Amino acid sequence: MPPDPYGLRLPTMTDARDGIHRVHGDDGPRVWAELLQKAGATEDLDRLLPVMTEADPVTRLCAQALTIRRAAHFHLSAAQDLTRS
Amino acid sequence: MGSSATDLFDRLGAPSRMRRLAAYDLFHPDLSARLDDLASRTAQRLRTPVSLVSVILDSSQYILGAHGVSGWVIEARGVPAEWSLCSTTVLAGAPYCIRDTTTEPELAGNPLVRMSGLRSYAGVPLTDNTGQHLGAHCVIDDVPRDFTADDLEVLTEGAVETMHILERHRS
Repeated sequence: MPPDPYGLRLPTMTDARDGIHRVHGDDGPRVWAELLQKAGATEDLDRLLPVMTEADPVTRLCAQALTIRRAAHFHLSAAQDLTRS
Repeated sequence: MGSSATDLFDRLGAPSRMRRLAAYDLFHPDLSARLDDLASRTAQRLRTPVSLVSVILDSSQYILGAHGVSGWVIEARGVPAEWSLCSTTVLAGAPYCIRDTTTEPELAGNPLVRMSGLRSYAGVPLTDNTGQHLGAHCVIDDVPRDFTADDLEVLTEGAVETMHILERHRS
């Protein structure tokens, strides 16, 4: 497993849960439970992100933040691989 | 995620602030073109290679309009919040300028600064009518630069225009 580029970790389900709890405050646990239910109790962020994007506007922004982090990780990892090969 | 990043995300992701951001349709297809144009005009007026209009989400800077940006930053439409100088502008709630990133110890470990060649920065917050700082309008140069009060006035005009445009894109 190559090191994370510039220390940037690929976002995980835990990051998504923390984000939802953060941006929804006291309502976070309820919103998270509903998202998980709609996503089919998944542990896969790829399945959860589309559900977050179709949810309420605050959750959509949280999804966008995770999507940007994931895209940054993808592009920087690819560049790292190129310089290594 | 380190504890300092988590603290940053908690400050940026405060529910009251996120609700204000969510009141706008930030994904409307017309918005990006209008804010690209605004960023282009600011870059021309201040003679900088880069200008951005961004909102700061809980863990990322989301670029709504841009001039002069290429590569992974524009592909991703943003950067992690902990690397973003606009995050500092938003949290300061006031203009934030850096004359020369190479002489700022707190930026020595910033990957974005190391990767991009970003040398100087000036940003002003995007502030809504309740006083929430939602994002930033900034310029970036690849040489050291002393930003003047007139430069900040141009950025402030751009920030006010940005908020007028956003008001027309309320959800």
